[in-house]
Amino acid sequence: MSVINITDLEKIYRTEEVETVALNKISFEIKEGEFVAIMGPSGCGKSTLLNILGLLDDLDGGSFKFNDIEVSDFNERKRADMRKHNIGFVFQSFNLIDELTVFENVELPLIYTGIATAERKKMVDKVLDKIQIAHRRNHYPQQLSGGQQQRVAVARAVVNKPKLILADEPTGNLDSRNGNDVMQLLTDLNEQGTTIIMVTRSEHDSRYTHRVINMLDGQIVTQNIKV
Amino acid sequence: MFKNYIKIAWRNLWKNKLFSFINIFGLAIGISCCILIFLYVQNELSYDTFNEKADRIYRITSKIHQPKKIVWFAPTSPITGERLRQNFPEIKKIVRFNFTKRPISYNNKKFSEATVLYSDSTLFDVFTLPMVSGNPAKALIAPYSIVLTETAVKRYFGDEPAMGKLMKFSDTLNLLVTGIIKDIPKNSHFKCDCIISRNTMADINKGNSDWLEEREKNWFNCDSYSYILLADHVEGKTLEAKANKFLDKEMTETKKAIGMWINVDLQPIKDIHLRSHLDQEIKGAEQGGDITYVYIFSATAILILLIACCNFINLSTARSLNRSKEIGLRKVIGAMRSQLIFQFLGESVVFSLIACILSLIFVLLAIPFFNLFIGTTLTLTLNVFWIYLSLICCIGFLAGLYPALLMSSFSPIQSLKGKINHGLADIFFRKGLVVFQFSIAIILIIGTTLILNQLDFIQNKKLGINKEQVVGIELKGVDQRKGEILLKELSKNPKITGATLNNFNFKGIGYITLLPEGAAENELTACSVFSVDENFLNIMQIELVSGRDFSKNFPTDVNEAFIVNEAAVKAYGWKTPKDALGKKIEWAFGKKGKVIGVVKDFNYASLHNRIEPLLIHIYPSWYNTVTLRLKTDNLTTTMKEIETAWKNSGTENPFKYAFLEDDFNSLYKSEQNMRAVLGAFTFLSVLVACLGLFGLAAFTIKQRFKEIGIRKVLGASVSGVVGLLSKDFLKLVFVSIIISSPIAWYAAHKWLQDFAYKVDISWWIFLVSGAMALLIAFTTVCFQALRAASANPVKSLRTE
Ligand SMILES: Nc1ncnc2c1ncn2[C@@H]1O[C@H](COP(=O)(O)OP(=O)(O)OP(=O)(O)O)[C@@H](O)[C@H]1O
Ligand SMILES: [Mg+2]
Repeated sequence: MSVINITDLEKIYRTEEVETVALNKISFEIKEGEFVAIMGPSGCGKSTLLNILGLLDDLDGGSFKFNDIEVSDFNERKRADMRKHNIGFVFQSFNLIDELTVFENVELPLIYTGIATAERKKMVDKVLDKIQIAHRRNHYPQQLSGGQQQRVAVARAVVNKPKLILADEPTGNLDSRNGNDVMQLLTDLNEQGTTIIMVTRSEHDSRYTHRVINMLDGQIVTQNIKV
Repeated sequence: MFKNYIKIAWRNLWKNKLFSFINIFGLAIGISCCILIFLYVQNELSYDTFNEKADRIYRITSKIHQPKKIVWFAPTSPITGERLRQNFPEIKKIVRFNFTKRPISYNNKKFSEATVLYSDSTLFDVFTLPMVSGNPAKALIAPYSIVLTETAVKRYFGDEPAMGKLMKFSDTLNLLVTGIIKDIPKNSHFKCDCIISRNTMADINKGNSDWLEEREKNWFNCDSYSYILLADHVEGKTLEAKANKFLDKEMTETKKAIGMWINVDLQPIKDIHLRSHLDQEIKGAEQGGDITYVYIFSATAILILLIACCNFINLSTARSLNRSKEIGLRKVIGAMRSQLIFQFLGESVVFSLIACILSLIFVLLAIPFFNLFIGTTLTLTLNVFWIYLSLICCIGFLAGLYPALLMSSFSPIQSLKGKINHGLADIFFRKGLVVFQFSIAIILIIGTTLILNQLDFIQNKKLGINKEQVVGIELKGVDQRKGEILLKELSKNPKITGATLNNFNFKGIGYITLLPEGAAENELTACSVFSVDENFLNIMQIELVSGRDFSKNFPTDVNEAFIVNEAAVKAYGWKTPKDALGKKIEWAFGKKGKVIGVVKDFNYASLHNRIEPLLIHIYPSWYNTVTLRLKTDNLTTTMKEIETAWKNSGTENPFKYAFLEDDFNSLYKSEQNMRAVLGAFTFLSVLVACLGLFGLAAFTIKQRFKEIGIRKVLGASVSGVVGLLSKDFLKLVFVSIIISSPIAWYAAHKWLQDFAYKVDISWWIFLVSGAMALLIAFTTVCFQALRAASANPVKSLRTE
């Protein structure tokens, strides 16, 4: 079963004077349980692609099936609904809410999915244990190191048990040790069945994945499948 | 979910202390103003509503038609009321009031009651005045009955029982206490502590054969305040039309004979306090109440609240830049737009809730001052709770909606990148808000300046009568002869330059109907009148333009001499003041005589009114005041000596005096109230608007910190940078000046129309007010700009 299936996907940015074709007729399929890396030079359209796959942005042409459902014509409401039940996000710059504690940050997606308080607490505690940050549950993001913050961000992405995790250069702001921790976390998650798509520039990180999609100027150059 | 919103709102509040302070403080001020004014308006509107039958009670006011004008009196003649009651079954009851100042005493305990009321026995059928003891149906039936309020009982009897006791009236008459009522509520348009049966008045005068004829049967003797209780479902206006048809018929003869007749205007009792500005209004009732001021105060209070809401909108929107990450993230995680809107609305509700709590403190602190300045007796009532509740919802919605709609519309990707571009419409909207705030503030500044100006003008206007250093000693209820003794005694005092007996009073003098020489037989006109002795004109420094003053050398002056003013000369068609001398004047009832002098027009009443024809004459039995001109030095000892003289004169009445200057100023009580309230409101509105500007400047400048750094590295001076930063804001204030000036001009123009004598609205008021607004705004922004501009550029460049 495929989690994502896109054909001839197009994305064009229009400003007053120029049209930038950020994605030029891209097609691929991602199966359940895959761990895929997207690579390519700066400006080739990786983030754009990831945002579309995450239903954060709309497309200008082509078809996009998520869990075999055509979503290219979904409105904001339906997309938000789809997002909160199926997709977790990890960003290069962590994007934790400064005003909320570690616990509350991780709890947030559960609040939006409408899970009861007691249940929420159990779920959050479980993930925080898993990323070994439970002792810092009442700290604010500013009080954590970059690696810890990113682990919290990953925890927040997975707490809802999404089918798919999208990560945009999750190790970009981390040193190699912290980066490896995060990659290990993602790998573990993948082994437990979560599909992961990760944008990265690091050859090292791409070795954790099953498949690398190489992009250039909005197009896919190669999709080598490793074992 | 809700808990999460509150949590984030609360933490945001602590994190951005400046932002929170400005919003909460501003909102609290706005809310406090609204609550205070609500209490005030509630009190004003509550007048006379304590009467259970208030909807059916009307006052018969009289429109006296005279040849060239109509005068509208609050009271009417006893016969008018009586005839109407006899002929219209719609009128269930009538009660007539007359006021007196005769002193009342018990066991040598004598108090000068501000007013003693003569009332028909039907008082308790019409008004709701609960009786503590006595029988309301019988209490005022017999002559020489008196009903006291609980306060009066305390005053005269202390803890002794009062019922059935005899009190002294006018030193010689006996009154029997037949009832005790609860104090008349503060929000009643008439107030008094002693009520005497009205037929006492007739009985006192029973020796006087003319009295009944003259007083009770004369249509034009309008001195009784008459209230009627209508049957259910009778419309006041319908009855009024029928009554006037009836009166026209009744008075056909009179109309033919003297050219005068009376029509009535039925005034709903609940309108008296706020909407009635009639001649001869009940003392005390004419003060304060005015529906215009109720509107002006309410509007201003709401405007201040709006200014505070604008702060909230503006600052929240400006700050949304800093919150874009949070917003973006919530969306990525799956928040619906509606959920975000709900969240931001929730935050503004939290803010207004805190502001309300703070405002409760403000209001409690402000109420005593408000009462002091406006002369009200407001207290916090439970009703306020509902106002608070609805304010919280309204403000939460009003202030929160725009930021909520705007922030929730950010695209998640853009907001995560922190690249929110506020659209042109949004920027325009927010600039509009600042312009709105400052326009209101400037209008208020101009308005207050103008009121100050006008009141100043009034105080310093040459009236044609010298009111400085003049004190009036009240002689009401004092024997005429004792008054003369007092006058003689005081004239000897070297600290007193002059003393005169008279019944002059800025607050209202009498009218008389008369026939001037040259007018047709039926061309009676009404004319203001007061009576004086031979010293009055001299002591009051009123200028004669022709003829002579009253003089003891002309014994006939007492009975047949009149002095008129220039306005009268003109009104009666006598060409010049010289021509006027020797002209005959004949009263409709009584006195006849000739003009012996003409005085220059002087303002003998409020400057709200033009100077109208005036008649001055000698009439000792009308004197109620000894007026004294004092030497300037050491007023306190002089007053002490006067009091001693008062006691020595043998009268037992309490010593009461008033400076003419104060009397005059009290004519402008509502204007002075308005100045106090509007002055305070102006200050607050400027304060709140400036707080907003301060916050906005802080955010904007923070946003431009890096730019400032770069400019400074490239060689910009501190003053250059300050200019750059202030320019944008000052432009907005400038636009506000342009928008507000015509509005302020129009409002001022309207307000001044109430005065016959007024200042010109001069351009400098606008200039100064505008300059003041600019200066205040500049100082506010400058403070921030200077700090940013003098910061070390290296530091500002590092802020990324
Ligand atoms: N909001 C936008 N408006 C206009 N053009 C955009 C916008 N966002 C991205 N682009 C353009 O689309 C192209 C793809 O951008 P994208 O951010 O996807 O690149 P990227 O591969 O993620 O690069 P990087 O590795 O530097 O993050 C670029 O040429 C960029 O300039
Ligand atoms: Mg990118």
